Amino acid sequence: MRRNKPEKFLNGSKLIMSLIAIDVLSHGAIALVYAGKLVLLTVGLNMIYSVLKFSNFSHAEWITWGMFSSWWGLQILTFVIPWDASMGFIINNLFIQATFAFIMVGILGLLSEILVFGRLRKLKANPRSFTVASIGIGLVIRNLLAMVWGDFPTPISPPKLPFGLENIIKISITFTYRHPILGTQSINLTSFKIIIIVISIITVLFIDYLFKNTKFGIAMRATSDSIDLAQVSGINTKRIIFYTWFIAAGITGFGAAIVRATQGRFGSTDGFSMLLPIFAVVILGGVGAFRGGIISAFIIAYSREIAAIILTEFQKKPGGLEYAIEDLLGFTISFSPGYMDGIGFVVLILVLLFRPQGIFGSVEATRARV
Amino acid sequence: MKNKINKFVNRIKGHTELILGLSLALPIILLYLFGLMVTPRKTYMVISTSLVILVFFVGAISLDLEVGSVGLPNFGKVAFFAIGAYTSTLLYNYFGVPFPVAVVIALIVSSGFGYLISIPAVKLRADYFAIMTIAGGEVIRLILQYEQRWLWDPTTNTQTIANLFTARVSTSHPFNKYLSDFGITIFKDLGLGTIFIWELTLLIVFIIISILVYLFVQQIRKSPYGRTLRAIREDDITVTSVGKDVGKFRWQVTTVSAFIAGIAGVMYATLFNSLDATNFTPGLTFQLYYLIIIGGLGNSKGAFAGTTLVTLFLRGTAVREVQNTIKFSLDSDTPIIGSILQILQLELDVNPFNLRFVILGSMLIAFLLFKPAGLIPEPRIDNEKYLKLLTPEERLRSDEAVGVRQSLTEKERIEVEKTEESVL
Amino acid sequence: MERTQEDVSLDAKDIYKHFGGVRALHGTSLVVKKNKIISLIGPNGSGKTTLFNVVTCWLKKTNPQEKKDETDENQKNKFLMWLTQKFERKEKVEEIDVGHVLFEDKRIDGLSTHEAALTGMLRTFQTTRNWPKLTVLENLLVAPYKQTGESFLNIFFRGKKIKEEERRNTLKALQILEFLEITHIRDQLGEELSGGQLKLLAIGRLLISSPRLILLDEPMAGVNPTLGNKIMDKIVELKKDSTIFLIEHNMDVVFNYSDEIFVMARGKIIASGTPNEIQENKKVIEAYLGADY
Repeated sequence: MRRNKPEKFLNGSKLIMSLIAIDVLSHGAIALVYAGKLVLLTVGLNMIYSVLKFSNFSHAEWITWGMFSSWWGLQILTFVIPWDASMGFIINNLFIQATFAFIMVGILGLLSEILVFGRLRKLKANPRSFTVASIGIGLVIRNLLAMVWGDFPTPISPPKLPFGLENIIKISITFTYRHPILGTQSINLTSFKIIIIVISIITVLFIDYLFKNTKFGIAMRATSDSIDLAQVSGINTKRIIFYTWFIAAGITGFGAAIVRATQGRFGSTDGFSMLLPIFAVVILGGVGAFRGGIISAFIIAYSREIAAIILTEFQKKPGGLEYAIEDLLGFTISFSPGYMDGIGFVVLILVLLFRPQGIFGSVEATRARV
Repeated sequence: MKNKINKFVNRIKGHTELILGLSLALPIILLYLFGLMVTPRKTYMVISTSLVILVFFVGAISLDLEVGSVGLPNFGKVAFFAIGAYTSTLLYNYFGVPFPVAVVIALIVSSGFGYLISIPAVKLRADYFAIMTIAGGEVIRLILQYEQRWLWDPTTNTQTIANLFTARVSTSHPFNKYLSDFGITIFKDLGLGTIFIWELTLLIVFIIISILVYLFVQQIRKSPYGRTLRAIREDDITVTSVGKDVGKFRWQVTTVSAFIAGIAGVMYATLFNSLDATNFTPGLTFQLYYLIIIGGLGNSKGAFAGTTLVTLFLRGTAVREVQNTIKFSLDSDTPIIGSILQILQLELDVNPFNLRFVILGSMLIAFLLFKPAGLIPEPRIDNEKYLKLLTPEERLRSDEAVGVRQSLTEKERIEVEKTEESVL
Repeated sequence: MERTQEDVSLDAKDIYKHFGGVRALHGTSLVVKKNKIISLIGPNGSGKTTLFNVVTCWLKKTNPQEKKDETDENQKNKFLMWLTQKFERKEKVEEIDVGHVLFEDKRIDGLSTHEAALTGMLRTFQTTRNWPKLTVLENLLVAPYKQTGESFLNIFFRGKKIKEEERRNTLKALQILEFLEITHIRDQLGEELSGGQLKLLAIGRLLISSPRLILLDEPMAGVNPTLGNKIMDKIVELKKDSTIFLIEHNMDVVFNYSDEIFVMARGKIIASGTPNEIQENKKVIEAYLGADY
């Protein structure tokens, strides 16, 4: 398939034209929101990882259950309180739903500890058993949810913010700009998306403060270092562990509820599909480094977005990157959009190979020997 | 009389594992038999279940070798299945490579990847290694699913690759006949449905392969090599301190394990007429884990028990007729709890498809909590096989020092026991 | 006293070892003569086990000019340091290789851990290790060097040779059990043994490979005096074929059984000599009573 020189030149220049015309702002905004979602959903995993020292695969189902329970709360309220326009903001209130989800998922976390993980710890099982147990829990919850609710369509109407905040603060940012060369640059952030970003940062700062500056946080870290020593020092490790599960799960549920509000649909496999990118964020940032998690979420979100741009906007059109490389090297791999998710996995593998402690984590935690 | 009862009770106590195994196995077997009775395609169901059991048995052995014998939690096993399946199929389909050669190449590629895995294994903590292998497995699946240029089926231009080998052979002249055509009409007469000769042949081939793999792995386990592997699993620092290269054992195990997984992958591929990358998700790896944990880590018999039970369970509940039978809803119309359900706005749609996973997950957790060694735990080693190597005099001397009466002949042992009994 | 090369089992010279800011070994040198019992004593934290670890290649020695390793300070600092390291040009520092470890005149300090063990130098650990789910007999059978049965292909093709080797090893293992007077636990699993039995088993594990240098890290730790004396009597019997180098805190044992004693403090050897010479050495007394610790 030899293309003659003029054709190659044409393709190349078209490529560069399309490069310039990318809607950078829009993509940047999308990635920002995605980063916010990641942050919100990874704090809980990071907590469990750093305090209890195992990979909790049931985290995926915490997210799913968070989404479902927030919707469920809405259903109950709708049924119990007669619908009335003025009552709309109480019933379909985002924060009420999210709080309900917090409690529900927190209970799930507590139950997992009481029924499964606490017992495993007493048996002094090795970390792999904990991980496999969490996979089992995930399996059970995922299928229970499928049985009770199945996959769900759009809720009645998007939830509202409390106290009519959205009327007071016009926090929807929409912005479009057309430029002859630069093309269309636009941002479209609805209020929910902005809330996600804001709340995620607040949450991380809160947890970070909790860990570092409160007595509770110190107790958590002591328990994670050596549970026996902590007990002997007078720390009620059982209670600390319960709180850890409840808070970690609760935050995840809270975040999941907010994320759900921006999605039209949700289903029993939603959490599972997000699991690996979430692990990537935690490990890239460093286990136990919550603020580092913000940075790693940004890295993963933006690299995914960049991959998306390369794989979709540059693909297949005349001047597409795929053909450009083929012209250059004689062969290429295909640039299909499905690879977009693969970026997170590749990042994860590279980080584990070359810098397993992540950006901000400590090296000792990663060694193969105890 | 009392003595006899005591003895009986003791005998039962010694067999708690057997009893546990039976109490678990019986309902599952009954469930499966129920499914068998209800479905019209009985023979087909039996054969296809057996085929699946054998494929997963080989896969479980491969995982057990890694996890149970050396302690490497490889959560990306499905990738090796995929590599084995895809390499052999693609080579046969598009490069005209004769099938046996394609299989051999697939196994080599699979083993090569197995070797690669050992490199990061040295550096990483166990659960980080687990996560890395999951991610690796998913990357491979993504490539298989989306690599349009190199890996898609050119005729259909989708990622589903037709398995030409199975399609061709199973419809070729001798194989495209029903068993009943050859004069064995019992099946048809008894209303058991009919089967193709191809399926029967496949079953026989799979059985032979499984037995060979089983013997292969047993030989490893029983050898000094296997003993050193066990030592590594328990304390690899001490193994290094006596002058053994733990890294070498590790990569050898991962390579052999990948080789076996590749075999399972090829077997898996021949079961279907087409390969779809969405089948090779981490869920399959997890399923292998359920098999070996429920069945018993560290021994192949356990792998077989686990595979059989779980597969029978999953297959039995997958039968359409069973699904239609055990299906009901709990909602606001249900008596007694209906009103509560209405207030809670809950509706429980109990169906076997999801319920079986709830049960499976609970079983897994129950085993982890109460019987982590699995149904058939790794047998406790005794020194018999070493002592057998000694001459009788050497053996007697040692046994006397130990204070054991193992070297008595059967007759003498009965005599001694009799005198002991009368003393009691 | 002339020290000829043939007399020397282990020769460690100018060993330095830094751990991220902590100087564990600061120019340690000692010579262990063959067929003797040599003890290494010193206050806690003086670097004795670290020396063992470097000599047996469980750790690599570091060079004295090496820059101070990054201490695990503030996380932010670490990130900044990592960033700057990536961008600044590294000056080529001439790495002078200081010090060496010689075992029977062969340089071993570059070897990997298991290769060092294969040279005929075996060690025990401060916390006694064993393989809990293997029988006592198996605990010994795993240990011999380079077994035919440990090579993957041999399992399938050299069955007979493996069987013979196993038989020989089993006999030797039984002999060792007899020597250590623990024959009666032959069939028990590692996890069923008492502390004292574990210690003897650990020594047995070394013996089956007939090592020429045996390093014992606190063999008397947690052992009652009677058993301790029994163990030491056995060790004395080993002197004729091997050299024994031990770290120990139990002064009775050290002074009663050692042929030569080395005293360490703060990463250096501060004294060496016969038990009598050491007992009268002022520096040693200072080190132990902690003049400036």
